Amino acid sequence: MNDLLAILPELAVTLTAAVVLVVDLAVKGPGRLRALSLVALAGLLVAGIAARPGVIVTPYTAFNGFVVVDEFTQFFRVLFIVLAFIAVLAAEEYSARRQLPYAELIATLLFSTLGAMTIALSGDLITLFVGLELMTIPVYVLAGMQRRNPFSNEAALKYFLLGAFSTAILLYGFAWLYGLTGSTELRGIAAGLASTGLTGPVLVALALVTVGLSFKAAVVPFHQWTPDAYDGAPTPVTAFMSVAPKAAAFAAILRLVGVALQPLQIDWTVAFAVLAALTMTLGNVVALAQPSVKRMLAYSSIAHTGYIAAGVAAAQAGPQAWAGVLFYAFAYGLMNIGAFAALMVLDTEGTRGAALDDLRGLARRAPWPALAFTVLLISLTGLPPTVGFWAKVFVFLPALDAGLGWLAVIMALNAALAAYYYLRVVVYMYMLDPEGAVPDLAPARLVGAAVGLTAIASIVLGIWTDPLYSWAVSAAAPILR
Amino acid sequence: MPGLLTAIIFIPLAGFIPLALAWRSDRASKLVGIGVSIVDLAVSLVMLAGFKIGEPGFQMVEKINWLPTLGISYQLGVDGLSVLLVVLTALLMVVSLVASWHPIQTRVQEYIAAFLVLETGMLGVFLALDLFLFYVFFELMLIPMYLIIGIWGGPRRIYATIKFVLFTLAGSLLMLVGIVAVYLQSGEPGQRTLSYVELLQRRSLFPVEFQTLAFIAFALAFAIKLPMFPFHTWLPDAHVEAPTAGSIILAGILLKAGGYGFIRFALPLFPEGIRASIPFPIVGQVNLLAVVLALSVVAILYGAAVSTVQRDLKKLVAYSSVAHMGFVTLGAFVLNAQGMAGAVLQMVNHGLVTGALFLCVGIQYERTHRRLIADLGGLANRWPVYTGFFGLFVLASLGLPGLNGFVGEFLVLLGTLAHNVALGAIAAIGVILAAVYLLWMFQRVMYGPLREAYRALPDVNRAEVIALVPLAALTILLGVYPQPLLDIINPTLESIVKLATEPTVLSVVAR
Repeated sequence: MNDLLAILPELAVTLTAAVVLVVDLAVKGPGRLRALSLVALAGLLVAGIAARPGVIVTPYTAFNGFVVVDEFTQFFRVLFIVLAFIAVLAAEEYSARRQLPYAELIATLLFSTLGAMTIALSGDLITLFVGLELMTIPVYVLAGMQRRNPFSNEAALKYFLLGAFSTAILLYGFAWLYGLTGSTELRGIAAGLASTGLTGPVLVALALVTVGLSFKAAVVPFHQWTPDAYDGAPTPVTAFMSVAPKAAAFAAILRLVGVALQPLQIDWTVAFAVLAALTMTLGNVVALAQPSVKRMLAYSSIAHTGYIAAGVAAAQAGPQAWAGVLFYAFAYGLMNIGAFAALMVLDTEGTRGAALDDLRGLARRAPWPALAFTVLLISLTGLPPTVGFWAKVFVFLPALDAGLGWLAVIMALNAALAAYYYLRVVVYMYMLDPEGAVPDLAPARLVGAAVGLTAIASIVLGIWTDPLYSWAVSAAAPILR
Repeated sequence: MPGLLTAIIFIPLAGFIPLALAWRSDRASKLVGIGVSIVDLAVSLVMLAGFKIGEPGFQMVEKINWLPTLGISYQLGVDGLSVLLVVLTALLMVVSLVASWHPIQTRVQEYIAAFLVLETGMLGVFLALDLFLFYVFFELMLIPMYLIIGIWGGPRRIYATIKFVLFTLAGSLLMLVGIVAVYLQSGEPGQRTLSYVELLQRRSLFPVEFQTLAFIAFALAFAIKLPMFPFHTWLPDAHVEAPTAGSIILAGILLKAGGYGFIRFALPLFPEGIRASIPFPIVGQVNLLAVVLALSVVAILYGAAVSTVQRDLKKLVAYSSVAHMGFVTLGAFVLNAQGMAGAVLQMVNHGLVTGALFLCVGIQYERTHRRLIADLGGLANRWPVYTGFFGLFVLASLGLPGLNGFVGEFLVLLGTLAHNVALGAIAAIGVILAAVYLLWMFQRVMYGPLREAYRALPDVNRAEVIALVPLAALTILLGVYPQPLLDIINPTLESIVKLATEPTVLSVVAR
């Protein structure tokens, strides 16, 4: 019974997804979409309440070690629930406009959320893998949901092929780990590796697992699927898939590195630091040249992966490195989903998403969304007083502590580079007047709410930062180093 | 009075409430902006009245835990260095908002909002006593100025504003790395701090190499903000394109944030770093102090030389700022009380005088729509009141004894001569050059034949006089009788000079 209590939030999300599909059949008429949204939002709210501390005494191991519920799990659970909540808010009006199958869209989105949450609570490679598949397969479907749009099809196909490929690599790595240690449970693997030490076969397993997870997190050079997949997918889907799977991939990396591979005491620092530096620099440099805002945000999300990976590289600094990773993942999730949502205030039907020129003069036509978008862009740049600033600080901190001063400097210069293309959007919104036809404003009350919520959260968490950070610190504690 | 400094910083932000109530009315928005800035000026004068002269340390200190997990606090305080800059900021805000009364006619509400955020940022910079808090306010100044130049600026405003932001940001992000490094160096985990007062007592934890790197990280940010030669190239573009009020604030306050940062943080926290030598290609080793001093003198001469050949009036004033800021760094880095007092006075006086000069250029541009010196001339015949004000500020800017511009430069030169006679002699040439380019400019703009097109243009109007009078009064008053200012700043500066010159006891290398 307690085992079920431990996965109460996951059960709530599952149930919500099922109810959404039933409501879709039962309710007809003009209020159908709104009813579906309300059901999904209410279900996520219930899941959020079920995820609050005190429901179960943490850390708690359930289902014979398949599930571990600790502070780490709680942190990511709440993050994924929040992200799903915002994604649902942002999706309704867009789906109505483009005649997407809305019930299927949010049900699929909720299943993907469930997968991400499963990754966070996995105590076993099997759970981890099931969670990973449950998270990514719905996203393949979501990316291709706009069936008649060739770009959407391209996005789905690219994402699917590369995703399936990387999953196979990852699974192969898991198989090696099992073969070497005789266990799929993370702690069992840790015990097994403690006796084998770092042998050749262990290295092969490590390489396969690292490559597999790097694909999921879009670390350079495994990032090539990202821009086309993000660009082609329907924007509400892009918003979700740019944040949740990435955060989940880092949750998986931390679990594996911190728990299962912990006895090896490998020095990841140099490898991860170089990858991080490459990732952030490449993402930023390519983002500079993008005339499409959607594509720019896609590339910039690669850059953010680099910043998060810098936190992973700083593992030597102890728990505060993991805390930095968690905080960054949370902050990035909020601001990036908000930024993509902000693009949906424009009706860009028939185009590939908002181009910079489409945003000309937006500040006069839609002052509030433009202001909220500006706040989110400032936060993504990493300027105070926003949460994005602290996210950067909390990665600088362990990076310098671990003696990676050069990485911190590269990060700082990259942030200045990013300022160019993020603030260029502000130039188009505030400083240029429309030339020729600009897209009409879409009816966007719910989208506006999503953008506004994330913008306000960015500022509030940027001023009142301590609760989230101290939570990230305690959430990082169960992950050893 | 507890909470006074917090009130000073956040009154402008609180101004958003009446600003929102002034819904879309341009006139009401402007009135709100002026009203809020006057209230803030009044409160800052209350602070000045309550300031105890003769105490070197911080007064009216406020402290609240902000990030207890990391030991970061919201900490404010005022001392002789900051008190004048706070009042100057509040004053120039009133002046620039009054000066915006006629010129700004589009998107007024956003304009006022940007200025109010900017004011909060500037005041916070001067009052913050925690390095993180300082950084937050330092960056808070950036976005409003970005918008002010980018939205209400001239034809090349977008190029200028992006250049301004990228230059500033590149420097300040490196400073952020430096701040985090200082934090990590400040003690064992759990006892770390970024409180300025605490850090001063923990300087022994900073080994020389660390101080050198940290100084470079901080100095880059401040050198770009100030701006020091060769990081000044954003300044002329930003000034030329900015609206008048933006130029006043940019020259009057924003540049001072750089000079303030040098004197407040870089000098006292990393004194060993300043004296250190770093490897440099070709010459082998260079001494950082020598580099800063040399660049300051270069800035003075270069700024003056380039000003002389400017054809654009606003660019001329902008380049003269580069020269004037050269005196600030020169005075700060000769590391004696006279020089530093001169540097601080120069900051205050340059804020008043150059702010006023940009205001005058703006008034003239409003009427003629010309900024090229060659297009102007003979205006003195038609605009007697304007000529009086403009002439006064030109004379103050070139350092005429009896006006405020003289005092700072004179003290800086005295301090420099005490440090190194040759250096002082070269810097003195800059004062002569200032007279050359300013008087020559004044002659070409105000005298000579009047153009037919300008015959009907009116003299200054009431709003402009209201903006000009306080600046003119202070220019004369502080020139004739600067002693009160020196009384306020000297005790603090003496302690800073002591901190910057005494060796920090180096115990163990912590890392």
